[in-house]
Amino acid sequence: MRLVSSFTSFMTMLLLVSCVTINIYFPEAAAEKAADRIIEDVWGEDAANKPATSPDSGPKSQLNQDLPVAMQVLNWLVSPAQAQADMNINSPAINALQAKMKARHEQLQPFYQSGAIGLTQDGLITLRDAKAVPLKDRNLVNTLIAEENQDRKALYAEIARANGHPEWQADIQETFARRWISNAAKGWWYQQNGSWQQK
Amino acid sequence: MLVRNSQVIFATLFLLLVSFSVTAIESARLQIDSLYTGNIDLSQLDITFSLDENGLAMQATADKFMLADQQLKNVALNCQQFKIAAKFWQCQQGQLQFTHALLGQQHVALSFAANTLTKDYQLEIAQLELASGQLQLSLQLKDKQWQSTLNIQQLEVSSLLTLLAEFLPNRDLTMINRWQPKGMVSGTADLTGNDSQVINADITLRSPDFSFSDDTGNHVGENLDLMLDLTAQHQQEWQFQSDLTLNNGQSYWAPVFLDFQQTPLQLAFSGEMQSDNAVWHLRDIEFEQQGVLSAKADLQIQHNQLQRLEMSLAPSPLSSIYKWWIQPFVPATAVADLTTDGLIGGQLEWHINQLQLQADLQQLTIKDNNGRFAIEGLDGEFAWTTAQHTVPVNLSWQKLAFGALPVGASSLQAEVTDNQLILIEPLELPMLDGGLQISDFNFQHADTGSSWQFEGLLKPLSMQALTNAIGWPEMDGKLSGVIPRVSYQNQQIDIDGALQVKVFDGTTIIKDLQLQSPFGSLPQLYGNIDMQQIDLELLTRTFDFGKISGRLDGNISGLRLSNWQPVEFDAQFATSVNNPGKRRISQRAVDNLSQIGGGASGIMSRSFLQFFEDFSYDKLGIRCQLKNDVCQMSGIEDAEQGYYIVKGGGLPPWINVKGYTRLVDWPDLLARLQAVKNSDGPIIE
Repeated sequence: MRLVSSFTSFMTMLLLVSCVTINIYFPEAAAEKAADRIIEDVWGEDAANKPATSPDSGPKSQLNQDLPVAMQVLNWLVSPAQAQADMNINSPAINALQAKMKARHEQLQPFYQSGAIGLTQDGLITLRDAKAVPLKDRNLVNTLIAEENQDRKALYAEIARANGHPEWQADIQETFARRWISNAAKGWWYQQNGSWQQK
Repeated sequence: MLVRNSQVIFATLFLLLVSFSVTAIESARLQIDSLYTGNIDLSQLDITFSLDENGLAMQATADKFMLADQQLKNVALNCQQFKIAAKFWQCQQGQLQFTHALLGQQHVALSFAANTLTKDYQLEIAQLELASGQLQLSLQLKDKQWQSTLNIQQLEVSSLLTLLAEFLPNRDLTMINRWQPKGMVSGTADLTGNDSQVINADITLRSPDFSFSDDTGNHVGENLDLMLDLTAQHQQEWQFQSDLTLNNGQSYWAPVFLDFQQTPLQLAFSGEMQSDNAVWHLRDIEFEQQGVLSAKADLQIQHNQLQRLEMSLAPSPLSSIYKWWIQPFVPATAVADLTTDGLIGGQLEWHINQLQLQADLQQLTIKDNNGRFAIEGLDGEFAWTTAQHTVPVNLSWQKLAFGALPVGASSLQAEVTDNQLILIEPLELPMLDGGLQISDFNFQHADTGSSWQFEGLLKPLSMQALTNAIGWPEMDGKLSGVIPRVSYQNQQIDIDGALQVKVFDGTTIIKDLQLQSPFGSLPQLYGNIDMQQIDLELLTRTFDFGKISGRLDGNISGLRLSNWQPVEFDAQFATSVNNPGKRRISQRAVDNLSQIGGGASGIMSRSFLQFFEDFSYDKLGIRCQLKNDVCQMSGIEDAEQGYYIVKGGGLPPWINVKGYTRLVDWPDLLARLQAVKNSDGPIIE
């Protein structure tokens, strides 16, 4: 009896702890998934880890298309597991930023490739080798970098806000920093422990 | 002592030999296996003198000739006209051949004359092959006074540096090599001096393709076509005058990029250097970048640190100055992408920790290419100071615009003291038929960023004019407000007080407005809105929504717009409790309501309900809590499985409209508001 009682209190404790865990800790896996989705969209073909099919296209296509959209949303939200595991990245603001970054990537791509621009440890980009850029393009590259970094910072902040946790911004930025590097194409440069490495 | 003795021995031997040969025979030959005197070391010296109808000629050869640690091999000197006397010897039109480890095989023209009595020496060297080019040197020495002319033709700078590596101190060489200079250089240098001190220098250098770069590539010149004139005199201190012209090529001096083909540059200055306290003073600096700007300056540098700078800029086109000199410094800011016009001129004074500037503006136009702001016809005088004294600012403009909102002509009078600008008269900004009065405006600049604040009074502005200006459906009414304080700090604008909008015969109060990063990637606007006694009839007419009569109260709390799109709020609207008015709803309005709720369109016209023009209701209302792109809907009260949006009452016919969907996709709802079809939603009883 005593054993049962302590088992029950242990389980209660565990449950409580689990509850607390969900509420406090940053949903790392969901954030990574969200980051990968954005990175794959922004970088397109250049994203190295691009899976054959996007993991999120599956559940959507399984939904009955005859259902009104509102019902789809309802179904989607009601499923508790999915609601917890996902990080929302579908606000109009995030979509707008993503589209801007995707358009800019066409201009940035050759500079990633040439090593002129590298990925930093904090989820931004920086001029790594100025000499790889013709003089007349220097200001263009500086502008592209400044604008990209401004958009990236805004993106990290907006994802945190859209998910109701502005305090997650730093965690989201940190997650993105890892995912940008992990997704980077062969030959691109990234920063690690303060020094430059090539993929 | 040994050196001097050896030289004496050498000279005596030489002269003895010569005097002997002249008197007795037509030619004489002297062979020495090896001769060593101090810093001269000769081996296998063979000298032949010969006399013919042209006079005395001399030929000398040596296998090895060491001079000042430099080894020359296979040396051959041929003097066609050789003169010699007791204290005088001369060689004219001589030819010298030698091989040197670095200089290679050389065949140079050489003339010299020496008078040991008057201490007059002359030396001329020509056709010396050096660093892919040629060098010519003429040197005259009298006592300790000397004068030389050095002429170089197409010297390759990088090869020259390889040569000089042997002779330059390591520190200087490292410093020069850090700039990786390359290119062909030609020029002349006229130098006069006394002993080891240069007194006058007149140097002209020209290169058609000079390039340099530092390690980082942040300070680079490429293919520069440059011409440099430098004259310098040394009395107690060095005085110098310089003239530099750059006609071609490009330069990047982070972050400024200059293209000298598009905008040739001329820089002239004079100055002096005080060597004992390492002070450089540059005077009469004239900087002219063709078609861009023309400036005069005066500056002082001590220990490689700028101490003082005074500069004046002649009225120059802002568009060029913006393109070449401003835009590179401001990427991804509010002023990163502007269209500009007009002239700007002014003065700048900078001393350590103190800046003062004054600018004259003539008919400036500054337009944000993203359409966020614009100013036209800006005239007047702008000034700034970091010092304690006061400088005036007087500006006037013809047109101003914030987004789509136009502002009329106005003027501003302010004073600047110690990094702070204060308005001395209220600023009137006429807007449409009303205006904004700004008083107590002040702007501070600090290292941590800029901040400003003001008090505002919004004079009633007709909603008709405003909605037309910003492209919304035309509304009647007035917008006004008292804004006790608007402040900006850390990329955030806070608006205390409230804006009052008298529209649809009711009152709308907008308060707690806060705007974050107004010019960032995603401007964030926060606020709360309260509405009282809105006349639904006027509202539905404006938005062409059918016809609903009655009064409505509502509030939108926790509103957040990201990039000017609503992303979060809790909005609820319901029939006013007090004074709800006559409550009727038209067939078309019901139809539209059910569509928004996701219902089928045309339900009304297909059912018996089509026989009624309108219906009476008791209460209507709706609530939407928007978050994560999902709107959580509810109505005025819960119904079985759903909620009431409209609850009938009063004289029949009356109608209930029910909603069933609790969670609605927000973009979908917006799309439906613009008339969407199909799907089930509210059921009309």
